Amino acid sequence: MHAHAAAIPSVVGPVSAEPDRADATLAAAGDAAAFGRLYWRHAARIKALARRLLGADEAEDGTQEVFVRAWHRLHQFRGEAAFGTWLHRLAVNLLLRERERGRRHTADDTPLESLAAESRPSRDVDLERALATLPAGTREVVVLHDMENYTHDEIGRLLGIGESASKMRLHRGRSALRGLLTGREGR
Amino acid sequence: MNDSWSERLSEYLDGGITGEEVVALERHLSECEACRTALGELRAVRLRLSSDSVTQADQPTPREWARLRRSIAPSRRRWLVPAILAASLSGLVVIGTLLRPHPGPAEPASLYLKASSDLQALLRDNAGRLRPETVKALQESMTQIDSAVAQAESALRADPANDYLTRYLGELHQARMMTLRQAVAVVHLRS
Repeated sequence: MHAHAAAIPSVVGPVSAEPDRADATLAAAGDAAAFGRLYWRHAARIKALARRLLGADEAEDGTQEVFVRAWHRLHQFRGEAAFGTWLHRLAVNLLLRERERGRRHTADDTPLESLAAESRPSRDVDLERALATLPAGTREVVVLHDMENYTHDEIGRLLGIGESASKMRLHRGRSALRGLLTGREGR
Repeated sequence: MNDSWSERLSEYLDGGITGEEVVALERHLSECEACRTALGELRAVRLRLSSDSVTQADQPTPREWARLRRSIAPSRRRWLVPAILAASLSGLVVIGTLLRPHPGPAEPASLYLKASSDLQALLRDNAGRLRPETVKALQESMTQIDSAVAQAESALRADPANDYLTRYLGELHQARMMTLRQAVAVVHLRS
């Protein structure tokens, strides 16, 4: 093999199951170029997920960790689900743990009131900053339910909470965002 | 606003309230302007969240791919080292169950290359003395080792200061030499 190790693999068309499956098989056998093709097809969606869950500053590192983990776990991909689904699940699990770990070390929650105060009366509040103000455990539910289309049952299993707790957090999260976006108090 | 209903507006919005409760809630909504406003705003929040799409900033960059490529290369090679060595050794079992292991000293890579070239020539000249299955096992082992050598060399070109890759390449050269030596020893045993 004489190709440069860091050469950028070509992007092969839109995301679809067949090239993903073939590349996943090759990558599981150690083919880094095949893994590169998977990366270029799926990285944007994973980075968006990382941005939503961790924030823009952490999105790149989070995405890197997801793909490093995927590289090591590729032998576990059996092709029963689409590769993108498998990767997304892996990413959600890893990023939730990452968020939990980060929360233990930093106080990342700007007081809700201060952001609301500085943003009024504008309705053009940056959604990402607004998400960052949500209380611990609420942001995850809002992102997974309203942005990633997970059900309350799935969220409950991922976060180790009941379905009703997930619904309650979603409502509180939306209400807090409503307060930020409209200048009204959340309820 | 009726607090008992206001807490359930999100659930209603998501279709999570059914039967008699829907009738009661909709009756309340028809009478409570605050709840109607809240419901409309919650709907707008949900729409804004769900319409947040992948942005240009989310697109991967060549720099990020290069970073990832560096992250995965050494770790996968750690996995490959035992695999390749095991493969070459299993080939040797087929080739020379009568032979003892012949561990060589830690020679420099340039010496390996020269010795490897000489041994391959000797083996080529005597290929007719080996059984087909021995030749097949030998070829498979050499192919795997050569492939791993090429990967290691390529990775080293991208990351010349990587100590692990340097050591790994040395191990591969050693494995290659062992395979060739054993094959030549078999040739000599049969001559």
